[in-house]
Amino acid sequence: MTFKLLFLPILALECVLRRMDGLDLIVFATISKRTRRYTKSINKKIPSIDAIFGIPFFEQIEIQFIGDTDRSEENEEESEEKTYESEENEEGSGNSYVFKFCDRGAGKNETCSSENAVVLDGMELAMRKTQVGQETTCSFDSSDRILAAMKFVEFLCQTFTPNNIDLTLGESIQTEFKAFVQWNLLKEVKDLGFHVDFKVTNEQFKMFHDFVRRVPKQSLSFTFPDYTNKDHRINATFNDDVLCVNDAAWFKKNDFDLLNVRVFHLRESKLVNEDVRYMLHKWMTTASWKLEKAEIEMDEPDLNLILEEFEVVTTAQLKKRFPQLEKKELNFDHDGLVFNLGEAKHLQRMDSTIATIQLNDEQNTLCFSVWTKKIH
Amino acid sequence: MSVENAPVVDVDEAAIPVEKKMYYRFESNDKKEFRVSELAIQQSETLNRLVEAMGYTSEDVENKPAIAIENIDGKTLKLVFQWCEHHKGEAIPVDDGSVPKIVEIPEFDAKLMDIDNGLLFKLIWAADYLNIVQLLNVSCKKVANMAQGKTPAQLRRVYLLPSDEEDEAAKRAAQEAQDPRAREVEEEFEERKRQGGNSFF
Repeated sequence: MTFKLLFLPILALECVLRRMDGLDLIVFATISKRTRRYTKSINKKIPSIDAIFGIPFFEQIEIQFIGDTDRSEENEEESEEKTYESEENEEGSGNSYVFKFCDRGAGKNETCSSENAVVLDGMELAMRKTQVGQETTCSFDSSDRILAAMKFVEFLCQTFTPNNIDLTLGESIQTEFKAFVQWNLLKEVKDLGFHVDFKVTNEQFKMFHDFVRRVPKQSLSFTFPDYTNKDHRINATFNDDVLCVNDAAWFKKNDFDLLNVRVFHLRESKLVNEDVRYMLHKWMTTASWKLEKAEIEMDEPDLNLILEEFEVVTTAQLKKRFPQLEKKELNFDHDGLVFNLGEAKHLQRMDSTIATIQLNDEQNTLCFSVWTKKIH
Repeated sequence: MSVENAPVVDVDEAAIPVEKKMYYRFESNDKKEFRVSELAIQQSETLNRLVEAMGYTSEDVENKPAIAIENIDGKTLKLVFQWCEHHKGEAIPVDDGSVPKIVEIPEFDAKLMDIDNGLLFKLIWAADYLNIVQLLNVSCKKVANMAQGKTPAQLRRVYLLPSDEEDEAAKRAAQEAQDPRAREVEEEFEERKRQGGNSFF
C-alpha cells in the first residue's frame, strides 16, 4: 500500500513528520534533498550529540544521542520524547540512539542488501538495525568509516541542529587529529566539547587553539590529558563565553591574563594559592574583565592564604553595610554553584561590585562568583 | 437531493441539550447532503466560523439551500462528520507549540480510519481544509506509523518518495510545460555563453 505523502498540504505533511519516531525520521531525511528540507522545516531537535571516534579496545566509531524534542516543546512530563540532560537522571525516560561505523567487511558475517543502504552526499552506507528496550543501535558499514561518521554527524547537525556536540578522539585516531581540528562543522557549533584520549604535542595544541580562537564559542569544554605546554610556548587566549578545561595541569598563573571569558572551570589544575591570588588581584584591578564565575580545582587551596593581601569583607560586615540584606536569603545558586554566604568571604571592588569566594564542601575547589545584581 | 432524504450522521441524542439542538445542512461536491449538529461543527474551525458569520436561525437552516463544500466529496465528508459527531463537545487542542506531540489513536478513530490510503489521503486534506485539529493529528499519526521500522528503500516505496534526480527531472519538465518559450530563451542564452558571447542582445 502506498501513500502520496509529498502531495499533502504542507501543514499536514509537517504534522506527519512531527509524529514519526526518531529513527524513522532520520531515515526519511536521508532519502533526498527534498525530504531533508521538509524534515529540517519541522525544527525537530536533537539536544546533544556524542561522537566518539576510536573507542579503546573496539576501535569503533560511535555517535550517540538520547531523546529528541521539538524546539517549542515545553511540557516534558507528558512527552516520551524528552530533552537530554544526562544519562543518569534521564535513565529510562528517553529513547537513545547509537550509530556505529565499521569498515566494510569488518562487521559480522551478516549481509546487507541495497534495501538497507542509506546514501549521504553520494556515500553509500549499509545499515543494520537492532533495538533493545529503548535503545536503538544502527551499524553502518562503509568504505571509509571515519569519513562516513563525519558525514553522518554533519547530516544530523544540518537537519536536527543540536545545541551541543561532544567529540572524543581515541588513540587510534591520533593521526587524523588535524582533520578533526579543521572540520568546518566544529566552527558552526555553539557549544562544543573536544576531548582526546592521548597526549597531544605543542603543535597539536596550537592547532586546536588557533581553531578555537578563530571562532569563539558560547561554551567550550576540552580535555588534553597530560598536556604541559612545556616552556609555555603557546599563549592560550580564550574568548569563549563559558570555558571548561578538564585537564588543566598546563594552565599557569600568566594564562589568567589571556582569558577573557565570563565563566570558567579549571579541573585538575596545578595552580597554587599564590596563582589564584593573582587572579583575584586581576579582578580587583580590572573592572573591564568580564569574569563572573570561576571554579578552580587545586591541590591544597587555603582561603586565608589566598585572601591575605586583600581587604576581606565578611557577611556580617556586608549586612551592616547593606541593611536590606538582613531580610534576604543568603544562600544562592550560581549556575549550579551553591554559595552559603554565612561561611563565605567577599571582596568589594572600587566600583562597588562584590564577589564571593569560598571553598566547596570537599575543600579542593575554589569557587568565585561575582554579584551580578546590584544590592543597593 | 431533498432535505427529507439527506443522510443524517449517527447522533447521540441524549448528549445534545434539547433547546439548543440545531442541525446545519452541508452539501459535498458530488451533491450529497449531510445534517450536522451545531456542537459537532465546533470541531471544525472553518465551518464554525462560517456558520457564525451566516447567523442562520432554525428556520433558515431548513429553508435555505445546504451550505456547499466545494472541494470535498461525499465519501470523505461522511467520515469527517462522523468523526465530528463522535468527538463533539471535546476540547480542541491549541496548536501553540506547548501541547505534547504524542498522539494516541482512540479505538473509534482507528476504526473510522480503517480505510484505503486513497481515502485516508482525502480525509487528511479535508481535515486540513476544514481545520479540524484533532482529526488532523490522529490521521497524520496513522500515516507516520506507516514508516515504523522501514528501511530507506521501503520508505521510498511506501511514501512514493522521488530521488533527487527524479525531483530535478520533474522540476525541469514543469518549467518547460509552464513556459516553453522561457526555456528556449534560457537554452539560447546558455548556448551563447558557451560560444563566448558577452551580451545576449
